[in-house]
Amino acid sequence: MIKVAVVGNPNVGKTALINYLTNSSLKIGNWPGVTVEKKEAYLNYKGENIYFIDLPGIYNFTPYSLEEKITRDYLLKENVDIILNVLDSKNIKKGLLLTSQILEFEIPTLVVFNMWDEVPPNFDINLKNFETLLNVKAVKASAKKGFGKEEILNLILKLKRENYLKPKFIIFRKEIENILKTLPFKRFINVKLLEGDKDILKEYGPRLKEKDLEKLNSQRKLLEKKYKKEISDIIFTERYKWVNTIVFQSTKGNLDNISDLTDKIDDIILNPKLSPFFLIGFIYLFFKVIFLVTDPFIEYIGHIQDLFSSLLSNINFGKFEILKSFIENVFIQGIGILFSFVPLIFVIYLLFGILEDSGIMARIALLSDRFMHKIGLHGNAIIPIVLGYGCNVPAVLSTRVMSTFKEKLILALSLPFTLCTARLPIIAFFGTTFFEKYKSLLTAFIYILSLFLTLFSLFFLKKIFKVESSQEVLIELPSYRFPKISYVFKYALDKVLDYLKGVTSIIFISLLVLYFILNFPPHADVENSLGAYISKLLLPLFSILDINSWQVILSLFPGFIAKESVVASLKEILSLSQTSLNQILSKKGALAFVIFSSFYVSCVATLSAIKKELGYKYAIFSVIFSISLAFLTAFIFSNVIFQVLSCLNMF
Amino acid sequence: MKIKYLSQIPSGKEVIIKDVLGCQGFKHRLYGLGIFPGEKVLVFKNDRGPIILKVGNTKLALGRGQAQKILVEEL
Ligand SMILES: Nc1nc2c(ncn2[C@@H]2O[C@H](COP(=O)(O)OP(=O)(O)O)[C@@H](O)[C@H]2O)c(=O)[nH]1
Repeated sequence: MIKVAVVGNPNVGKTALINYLTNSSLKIGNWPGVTVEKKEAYLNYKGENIYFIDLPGIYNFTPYSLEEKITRDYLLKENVDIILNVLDSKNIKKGLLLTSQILEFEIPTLVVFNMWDEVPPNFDINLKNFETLLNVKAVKASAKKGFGKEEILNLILKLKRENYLKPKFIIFRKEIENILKTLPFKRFINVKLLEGDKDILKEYGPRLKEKDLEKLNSQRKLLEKKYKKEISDIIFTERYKWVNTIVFQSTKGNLDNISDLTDKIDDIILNPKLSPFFLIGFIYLFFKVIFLVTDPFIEYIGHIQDLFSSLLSNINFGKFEILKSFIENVFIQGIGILFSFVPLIFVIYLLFGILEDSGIMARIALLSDRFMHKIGLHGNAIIPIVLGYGCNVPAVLSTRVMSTFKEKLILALSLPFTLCTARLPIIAFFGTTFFEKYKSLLTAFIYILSLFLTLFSLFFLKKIFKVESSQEVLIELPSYRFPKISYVFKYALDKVLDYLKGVTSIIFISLLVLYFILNFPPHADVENSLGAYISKLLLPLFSILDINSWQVILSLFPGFIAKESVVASLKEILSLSQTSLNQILSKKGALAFVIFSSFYVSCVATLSAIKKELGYKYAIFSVIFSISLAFLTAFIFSNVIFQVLSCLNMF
Repeated sequence: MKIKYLSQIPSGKEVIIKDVLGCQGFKHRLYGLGIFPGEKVLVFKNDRGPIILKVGNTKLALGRGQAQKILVEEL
């Protein structure tokens, strides 16, 4: 098998190229332990198996980002046969800066000038010159228009056959080369050791003799003193010089500032007077589309679940009647929950794919940055937060747009405080029962409280997890393009499968636990169930909130499966124990209950999404954190409001 | 020619990068994105909020604070 690592700047068409080369057999997963996407594909070409791995897009090998580290480690450690270095032909200089570093891995390299379809006719590259200067192979291609495939694949086979094609890396100034000469590793490692790269020093430093290492350090200091610059700066200068020489010697015509449609659109969209309208418009449209498309499906899945339940009720279990409710409450319910999110997740990833592929996402992030920055977050956090007010599950899954794990962490743990639509029935029910006149006021209040809690949680977790304040934006805005629909579809489908794989176990475990809480011991009535027992144990705690009935507390358990079921189960419990809500709950207690039940925990599905994105540890943390914060909030606000309102004689 | 901060350059002007100040990490990121002493860039938008540059043929958005660490010369 030939192992081909595809390397290049972000947005140069690496993914599109692999798709084109392998007839769209790209598989999407994640790198172990991190959230960066891992894309790979296999192809059998002329009897040879070729494996393509799409390494994360980078600009440098410094490495300051996770992406840089993944790419570097892969190239150093995974026995790559060939590097396929993809460049955007309209941005050759920036691409070549990375190429200059890629050559130092001393792996046979094939340079692909992609997006050749967009290059103006007066520009050209002399591939022969280029190949000789770098001792690599080079091709012009377009993944979009579809040319260059045969040539690339044949060159891969050829490079493999003639394994001796070692790239010509940059020869730096004499003083630097004299030092590099004394180091025993691959060129890339030697250069990084000289630059004083911490990671590389740590790993390869100990393999040098102590006195050689000391010598290296003193030589570095000497040079830096002489030039009054860090060595890495001197090396960068030489790289830029090299890039300019290569461009001069192998291209003709110029690529300066090709003004295109993108510029014209950006001129309007990024105009500060108009941009708020565009932003609001985008976001509105985004949600409109999501719920318009998914609502009918969700209903449909509900019907299917009902169908299964009724099929089940027709089966005679005889002695094992008890099994029936078990199957219904754990398996059918679980499958129902699992699949009810599938349409939503599919559509959201579809839209994500379209927004990202078309270049719109980068603009949304940029436009939101202005005000998101004020609350200490990057602009791209806007999408998960707004999504959360529809449904927490996709909101949590979409935190992958955050660039660092910690930012993702605090965001995902704060999202359960965004008020998803499933919680509205609780507010409505209690509003009608207790605060008839002030029902809408109550709803508005809970919404404001939700926003407040979300921001508070972000702020608080930022302190706890010591997240640095978000730095200013530094993002590239890719050209607008028509997204490739077939690819986006496949992407969304992969993501749905990924979701199902990631959440199934925890959903069933949670349902199992809850089933036992609510239905154990068998044949007992509600009053004597394990759930009632636990609820009664919790009474002293809840009496702090002026909630003095175990029935109300018990209804919180099913709310964990889905918030919608709090009301239904409360009604059921009340009718079984033959009381009414007004008899067992004070107004103050009711207010506290509405607040607590709105925020105490999102639902099984959200929790499983948190587990999928962050792991079990943080899922458990999330439960404890939301319950504590919800309890505290319910306590403070019910007391304050009750005091104020009773002074005003409104209760 | 007068040296200015990038943040002071109005929309539509072309400039040559003279120097990038700040820590190594910041400098290297900008270098990788094509902002290097001697390179020519176009200030595409500079009104409120982040500044948008055109470097080669890609647009780059960067915050004001960062733009104050980039020294340029107007063309
Ligand atoms: N015009 C043109 N567009 C391309 C070409 N290759 C990729 N694209 C588009 O460029 C964008 C970025 O491509 P992608 O494969 O996601 O880049 P990656 O980040 O390097 O993997 C997508 O919208 C592609 O459809 C090409 O050869 N010509």
